[in-house]
Amino acid sequence: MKDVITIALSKGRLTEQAAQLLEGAGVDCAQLRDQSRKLVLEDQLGGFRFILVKPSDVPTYVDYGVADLGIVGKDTIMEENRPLYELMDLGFGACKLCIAGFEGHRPTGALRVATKYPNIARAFYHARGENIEIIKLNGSVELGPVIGLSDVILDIVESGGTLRANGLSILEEVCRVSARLVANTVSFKVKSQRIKKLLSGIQTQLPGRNEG
Amino acid sequence: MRDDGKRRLPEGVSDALPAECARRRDIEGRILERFSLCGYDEVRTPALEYFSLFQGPGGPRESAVIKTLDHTGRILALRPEFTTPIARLVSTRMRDSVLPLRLCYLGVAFDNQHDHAGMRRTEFTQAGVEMLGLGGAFADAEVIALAASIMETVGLTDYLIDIGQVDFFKGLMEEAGLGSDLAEELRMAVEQKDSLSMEMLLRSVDVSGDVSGKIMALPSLYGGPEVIRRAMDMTRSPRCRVALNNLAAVYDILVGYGLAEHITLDLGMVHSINYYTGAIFRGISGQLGAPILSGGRYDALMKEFGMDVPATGFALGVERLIEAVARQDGPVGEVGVDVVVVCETYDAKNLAAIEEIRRQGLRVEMAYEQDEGAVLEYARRRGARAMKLRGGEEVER
Repeated sequence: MKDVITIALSKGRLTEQAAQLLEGAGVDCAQLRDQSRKLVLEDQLGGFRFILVKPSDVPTYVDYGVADLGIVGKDTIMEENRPLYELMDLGFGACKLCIAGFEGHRPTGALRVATKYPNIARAFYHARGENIEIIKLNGSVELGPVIGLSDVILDIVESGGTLRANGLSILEEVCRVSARLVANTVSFKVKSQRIKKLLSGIQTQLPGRNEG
Repeated sequence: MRDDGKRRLPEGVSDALPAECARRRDIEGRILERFSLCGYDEVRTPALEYFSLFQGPGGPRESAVIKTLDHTGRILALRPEFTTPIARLVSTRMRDSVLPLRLCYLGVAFDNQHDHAGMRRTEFTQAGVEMLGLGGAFADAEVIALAASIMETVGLTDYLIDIGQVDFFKGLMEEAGLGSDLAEELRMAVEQKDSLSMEMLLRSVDVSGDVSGKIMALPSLYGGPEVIRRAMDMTRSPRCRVALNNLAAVYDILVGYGLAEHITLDLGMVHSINYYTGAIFRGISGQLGAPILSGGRYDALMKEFGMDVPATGFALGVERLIEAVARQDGPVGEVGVDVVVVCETYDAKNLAAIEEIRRQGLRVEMAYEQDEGAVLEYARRRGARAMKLRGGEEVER
């Protein structure tokens, strides 16, 4: 197992772009494209293994060291806040973390924030000394203000289409996020040669971020 | 089954069954023996201390410390680590000792984590050394070589000791004219090799392109001894150069210890700059996704205790080391005894005979079952020889 590099990939919107990037770096991702139900996938040359997991679980697998590398959105990295090496901005999956709500709406008490990202929300508002009530949701966060559950939401915004369709607007931008390559801090040293090689393979494909 | 809290443990702590205990005793014994052979004297400090002891630069997050109150209402802490209690001990009862002091310890410490990933446990065993009163590369290298020898002593073969030098980073911060808050933000980004955040931070402040370029090189300054040369070519800051010279000297001494193949360097490793002042290191193994040991030079700590002496040391996570060994060597077998004894009568002669066998270092368990078949079956399960005594002599079957 020592020579195999295990990569945890976010299942969902980042999977296909991650596969393309890895293929460009010489990793065989054929099994990733198969619509099989296998949870652990391998490349034909045997040098790599993939696990396809929920985005929020990617940092966990990498932190434990059962995955050496992971590809996951910066939003998830911020929310999970684990001691990982964040090696590269892969550029794709770009979007913004925003506070959204009804323009002109005034909260009656402490601001109620519905979000999938309670840790980020806490850090964002606490940095300004604001007390908030966090309402943790697991999906369709936009519903919060619409139905009166919360005053605002903190969520990722790609096109803004869902917000507009529900009459919500972006009130503030928290930060920009995109897919990152993360590494377990021990694997990075113990499997340093192979990881370095993969990194330079990936780097050559990133526009405007060539070596040097 | 109804959960009445009587059958359940809090999160992050664990029991150990006999086989695990045996492995643990063996490993802990080897660690302590090695410390002792290298001239380190064992000390003990209590698990309970005043919380205020641990507050200060480089101290643990308040929420990570398990606290309670004493009868006067003062806040007590379950120790999160051993170095600060040992500093307290040295500055009080050992104040007049002849320096250098080489001390070691083994005991439990506590960390109030809500998340137990990467083997972050609530109760964990730490073993380590503190060397007080010696500065310089020889002391740094001695402690690092001792850390490496612990890995060897327990039979871990694929370990690496990753060495950094926080004063190189501090020298760069000085050169860039960055205040402590920004330096800390930058440190966190460097520690995670997060170039993007580093770039954004540096762009937000007025740092010359030259210095900024050096800082941006930090995450890639890892590898073999060539790292020192690369870094040396980069900087003319006296503080950085002193740091690099120290690292080079430490590396050369460690080569003399025969450790070249186990040493890697990483100038981007900058954990706890408020605490460490020089060469720092971590011990890792491919068996485990988290560091097994970590340590370094902390010349400023003793000043807080009114003694201006240099110091270095390391702490090792015993459970992590055991886990790495277990993953490498596989599970240990059940614990057994050597002899199961039945006496015809439990008189002075027979009991003395049993003691005689024990004096030879064999584990003897007494049985009180007179049915021979049952005794034989029990002895077989315990991996032992069955023996029957009469008048202090073994009865031939």
